[in-house]
Amino acid sequence: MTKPEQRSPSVALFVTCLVDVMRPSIAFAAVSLLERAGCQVSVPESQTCCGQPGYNAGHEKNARLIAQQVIETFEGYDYVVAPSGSCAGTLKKHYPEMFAGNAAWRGRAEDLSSRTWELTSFLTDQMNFTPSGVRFNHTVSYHDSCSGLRELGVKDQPRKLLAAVDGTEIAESDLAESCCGFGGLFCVKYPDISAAMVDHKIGDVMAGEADVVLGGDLGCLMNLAGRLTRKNLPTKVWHVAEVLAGMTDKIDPITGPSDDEAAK
Amino acid sequence: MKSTASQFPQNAREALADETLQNVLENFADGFPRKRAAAISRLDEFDDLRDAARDIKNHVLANLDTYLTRFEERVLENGGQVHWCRDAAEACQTILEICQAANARTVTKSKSMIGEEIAINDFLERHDIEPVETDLGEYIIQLREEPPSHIIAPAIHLSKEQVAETFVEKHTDRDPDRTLTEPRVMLDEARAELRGKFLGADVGLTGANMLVAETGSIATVTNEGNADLTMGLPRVHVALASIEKIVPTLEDASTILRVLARSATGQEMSVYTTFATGPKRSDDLDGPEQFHVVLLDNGRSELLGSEFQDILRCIRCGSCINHCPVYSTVGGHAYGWVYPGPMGSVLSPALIGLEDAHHLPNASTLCGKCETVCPMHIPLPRMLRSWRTRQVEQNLQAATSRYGLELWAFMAKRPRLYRVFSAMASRVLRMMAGKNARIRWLPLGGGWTSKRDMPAPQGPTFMSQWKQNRDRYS
Amino acid sequence: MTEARAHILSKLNRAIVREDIGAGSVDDRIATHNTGPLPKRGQDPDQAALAARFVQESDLAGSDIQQLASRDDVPAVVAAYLRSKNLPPELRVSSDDIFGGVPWEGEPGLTIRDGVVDAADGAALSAAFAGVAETGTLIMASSPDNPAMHAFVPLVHMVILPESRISGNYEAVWADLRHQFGAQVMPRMLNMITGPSRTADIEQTLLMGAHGPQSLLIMVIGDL
Ligand code: SF4
Repeated sequence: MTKPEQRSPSVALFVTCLVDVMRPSIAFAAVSLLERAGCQVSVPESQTCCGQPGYNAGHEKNARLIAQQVIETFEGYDYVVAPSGSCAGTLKKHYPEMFAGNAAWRGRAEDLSSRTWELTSFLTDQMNFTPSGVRFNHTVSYHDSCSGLRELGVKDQPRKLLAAVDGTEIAESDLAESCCGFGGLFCVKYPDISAAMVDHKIGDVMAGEADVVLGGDLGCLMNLAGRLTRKNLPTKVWHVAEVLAGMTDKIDPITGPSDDEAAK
Repeated sequence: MKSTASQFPQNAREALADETLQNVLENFADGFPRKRAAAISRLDEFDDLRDAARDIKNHVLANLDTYLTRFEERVLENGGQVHWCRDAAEACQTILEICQAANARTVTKSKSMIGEEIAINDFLERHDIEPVETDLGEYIIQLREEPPSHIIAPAIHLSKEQVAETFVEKHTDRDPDRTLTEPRVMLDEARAELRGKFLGADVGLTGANMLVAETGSIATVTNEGNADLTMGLPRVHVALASIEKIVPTLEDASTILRVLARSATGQEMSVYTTFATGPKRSDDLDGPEQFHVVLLDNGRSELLGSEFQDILRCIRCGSCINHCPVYSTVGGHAYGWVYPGPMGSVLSPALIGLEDAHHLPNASTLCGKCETVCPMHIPLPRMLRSWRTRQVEQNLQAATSRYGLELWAFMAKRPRLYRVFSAMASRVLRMMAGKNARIRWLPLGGGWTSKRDMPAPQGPTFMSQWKQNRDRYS
Repeated sequence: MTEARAHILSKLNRAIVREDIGAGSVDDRIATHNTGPLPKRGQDPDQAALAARFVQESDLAGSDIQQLASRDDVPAVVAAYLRSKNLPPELRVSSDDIFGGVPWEGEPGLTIRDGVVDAADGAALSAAFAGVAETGTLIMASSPDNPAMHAFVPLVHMVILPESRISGNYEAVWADLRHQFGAQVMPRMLNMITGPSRTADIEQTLLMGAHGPQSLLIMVIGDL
């Protein structure tokens, strides 16, 4: 078998269920970045969800069935890349745990795990990719999503990529690594606590220079964006892939069009 | 202590509305983590020590029965007594009998989470014995008749004004118009009040951070020195410890001490670490005449060999609590029982029952911070998830989330059906949005939209757009 | 109680997943008392470096520390320290041999009492078993000559520590302890003390002198 380095590696995009329904531009951005980095990208059709919502809610049996389907769907590609630390973390860290006691599936889960990457870390650590000719004139605060940060060690990679974007300054927030309070079903079950948590983060961002919040996980970004607009705050939110792919002048941020634009 | 864990959401709402508490918590969220980080940056070997500390406890747990009997042998050799207790009732009764045999009127206490767990204070009071908490934080909350809100900082929820009010109200022998604005003055007052109690107590009841099998010693760790006065001055010393507190040797104790204070308060070492071994010896000028160790199981043996065994490595440093974003938002009382924060949400369901504590394992975003700062490498998020799994197995989940998740799983296992469903969801959500592409209210999604807008889907699903035009947006 | 004991032990026995181990290895482990990872801090090349590290770490922990050439300097330092704390020139001193050679007569104004401390004592002086450089920690071993309560009851605690008794880490002290007292034997109370008593229980304000001493003076004696 040829080594992936010697030909353009085949990458299967794990779209994630949230991006599929809520914000397709993130997946388009991911495809574009992966192709620019020299990958051959496919989007396997029978993918749905990684199973994390059920897994984290204690529905282990269902989660395992979904995991088996994901493992089968993504067999045979050199890499599986997701524009989300949380879904990538599920494939990479939790699938092997789920099948720890299952001889038949453990190996396949570990194989998938070894091929799975979060988008920004794949672009930097595996493909040595640097974006060029991209401009984004904003001071940004980067939110390190919990799973990406703690399960996959995603921290410097998105910052490294953003450093190559013209016009972008990073204003680090003290609370960059604090949970935004999304937590999947947590934000629906305990909305008051979740809102207080996201307010801590927003307060810290507003106290700094940033006019934009970026991150790599749509769940967190929707939480931040939804709270910002509810409070009528001007800070905009984008997924980091959209910025890196130079897509931001073609689409509205996750916070939606500004009120003037909406009125048009 | 009566649990209010089942009212977690309501407790949390009250906490969020409590302005004093919110001010105190803001302070809290910053203090401990910064000090811990500074202490760890001074010790290159910290991570190696964590691994070693984990291995020590794993070894102990794999031999717990043998270690307990070795410990017991040493205590007896040294002239002490060991009392094995299965549950809170047995432990309370044992302690009461020791007190009664000593004709005790007053018992001084140094902070013991297990004392809270078995509610020993209420029990002794009911039998006309006065328990006096001596840790300053515990003393304050005892005066206020409140439970602790943190395992190492029990009065962390209070402002100094609240402490001052309490002292004015409870220290009735003093001038009610005295000025109590400075913490220093409050401390001096408490010190003076407690002096007499220390000297007059008949029995001293301490907890134990560790039990050393090699020597039959109990180890206490404090910053105030109150444990030492509690065990050193009265005629009788009772140490209350749960069975998992064993360490094999002094060397093992040292390894654990190196991670304990740094993780807890960010100190290199707590001020006082004391190994107490047996009663007063023949020529000693001070020390207790009797030395009792009350060994409590209270559910621990059930955890051994289960998916929750790892929590038995916990050394109660409080680091997971200090770094928990949920704790620092709602404080300790919201959790409704003795142990708050991540370690509490893992331990409490085992001790008070999953039904009563059903909120606790769910009241976490699984952000994972706790595990990264736990000196004993306890996989707290994994165990919170395991409790959720047990809830599903025991049908303890709310019907809406159960059916919702079942439906979702049904779809997710059927890609074609899923495509249809997700396309439909996308369309419906887009229809609900205003011009500004925000949804302000969602049926069944009230948990979300009560506090935030829901950004509307950008357009048709990615999967449908991808089929039509691979090059969209480029 | 014997019923509870049997019950708990049998439950544990049933629950434990045994791997290597068993009673033999427990006793081996206790007898060999292997050390964990030892911090580099504390592995200094010589006694002078250890003493310097001890002084530095004690200071960080909030102890007052003075390095004295010999026991002859103790009375004057003690008298001055009491004055600086606004305490009367009275002192409870433990009867450790180390105090035999202290020339108290050099400070005639100082009243020295032996025996056990009581609530009226403002200050006490005792002898440390050892010092640990790694964290500036004193190791106090209780005995009839060194009652434990000296370190806790008064507002000021003073300690004499021969420089030669400073070790790099705790483990070195445990080895020494076993050597002096015998395997598996402990002094009745062994206190590791790192700085003066403190609390941060009121709004996280750090205050010294919670129940134990507000000040701790360590006198490291070079030549004994
Ligand atoms: S779980 Fe870990 S971090 Fe939390 S109190 Fe226990 S030992 Fe400390």
